[in-house]
Parts: sequence; structure tokens; C-alpha cells
Amino acid sequence: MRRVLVIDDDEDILAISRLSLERVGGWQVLTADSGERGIEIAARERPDAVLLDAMMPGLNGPATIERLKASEETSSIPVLFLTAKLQRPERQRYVALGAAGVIAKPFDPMSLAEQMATILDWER
Amino acid sequence: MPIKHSVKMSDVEERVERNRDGDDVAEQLAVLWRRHRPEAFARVRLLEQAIAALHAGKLSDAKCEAARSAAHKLRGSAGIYGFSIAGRIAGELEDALAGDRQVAIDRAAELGGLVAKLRSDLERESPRATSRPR
Repeated sequence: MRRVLVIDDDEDILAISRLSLERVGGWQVLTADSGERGIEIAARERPDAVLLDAMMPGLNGPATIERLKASEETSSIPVLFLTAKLQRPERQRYVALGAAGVIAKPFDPMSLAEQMATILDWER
Repeated sequence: MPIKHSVKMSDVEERVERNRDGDDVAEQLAVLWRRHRPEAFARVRLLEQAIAALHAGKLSDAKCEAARSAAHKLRGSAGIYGFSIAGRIAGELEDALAGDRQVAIDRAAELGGLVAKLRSDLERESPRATSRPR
């Protein structure tokens, strides 16, 4: 079973993502409410992918992916950004930081897993 | 033709299963919205307080940042629950409250109107609670 780590400071988004990815995607979901906590969990659990909120207090999305990509333990884990601001400059910046893709907020809970699977080229 | 029949049944079963999953997710979303609703309205109140302070010429940087953060969170979550108008307005409010410059006092009425529309949209019954997403 695929394992996905969702990092977002909004508990509500974590709950919705869990519901969506578990029930619709059939995946196991790990959650972290901060970039710092997310890095710890990613290094320990080595999920198949990380869904990362771009704007968080403390360590924000870009700083979090930089650390994930800089660590040997987590550098190969694909990271998808989750953002309410989906303008081209932001998207380019995230891709330049090593993101595998970008998903817009708000997302449709019924198609979040499909969006992720398409970007990551996962068979469903 | 037994094979064709078997394929047909499995299609139907798959569709039924998918509908069941969809209904289940919609129900769970409705539960999450009921749980999240008080926090969403607390965020609306933060926005209303910030606009009131702007009206009075007393919008501090801290209050403005708290309101921007509240708008950002509503922008991300309202649409997921089916409140697309609230989500769009929250985005407009976040953009208006962000940036280095102080928000101009003459925008108070306009921004107050947006917050009122946002509240009104959120006061509807959750669209996700009454119909399946998709």
C-alpha cells in the first residue's frame, strides 16, 4: 500500500486530505502539522510521496522541501506542493526547488488521489 | 455469454462500490464541516474585527496579519466544503491584506462588504452535506 505524508499547519486540511487519500485513494496517510515535524516523519517513515503546504508559519513549504531534498534519507521522495496561489512564478519556483508537481487549493476531495497519482505516474 | 455477463456484473459492482465510497466521503465531509464550522466563523470574526479596526483607523500590523492568516485558511478550506464563493472572497481578502503597504482606510467599506458576503456564503447549509461531490 502506498504511503503519503501530508504536511499542513491547518488541521482541517489534514483531516480532509486523510479522508480523501485513504477512502478514495486507498493509501495510508501520515500527517504533520509543521515543516519541522514533517521532516522528522519523512526521515523516519520514508513515505512514497509528500504533499506539502506552501504557506506555513515557521518552516514554510519552500524551506521544508529544501531540507528534504538536501537530506540523503529523504531526497528521493517525490514532493507535491499544495497551494492556494497557483500563479506561474510560484509554480516555476516550486519546480525549481525539486517539486514533482503542484496541486491547487481548494481541491476536490474526490479527485485529490487521482491528481496525485497522475502527477506521480502511479497506477491506480 | 457467461464471460460477457461476468464482465458486465463486475462493471456494475465497481460502479456501486464507487458510489458507496463517494457517499461515504460526502458524509464524512459533512461531519468534518460541522466540526470545523465554529473555527471557520471564528476566522470570519477576526476578519470583521480587522475591518472594524480599519474603519476606525486603528488596524495594527498584528491584527492585519492575523486577519490575513484567517483569510488564507478560509481560502484553502472553504472551497473544499463546497463554499466556492466564500473561498474566492477569502482569496481576495488575503491578497488585500497581504503586502508591505498598510491597507488604505478608504478600502474599509469595500472589504467590509466582501467579509459580509463571505459570512453569508458560509451560513448556507454545506453544499457537500446535501449532495455528493461530483
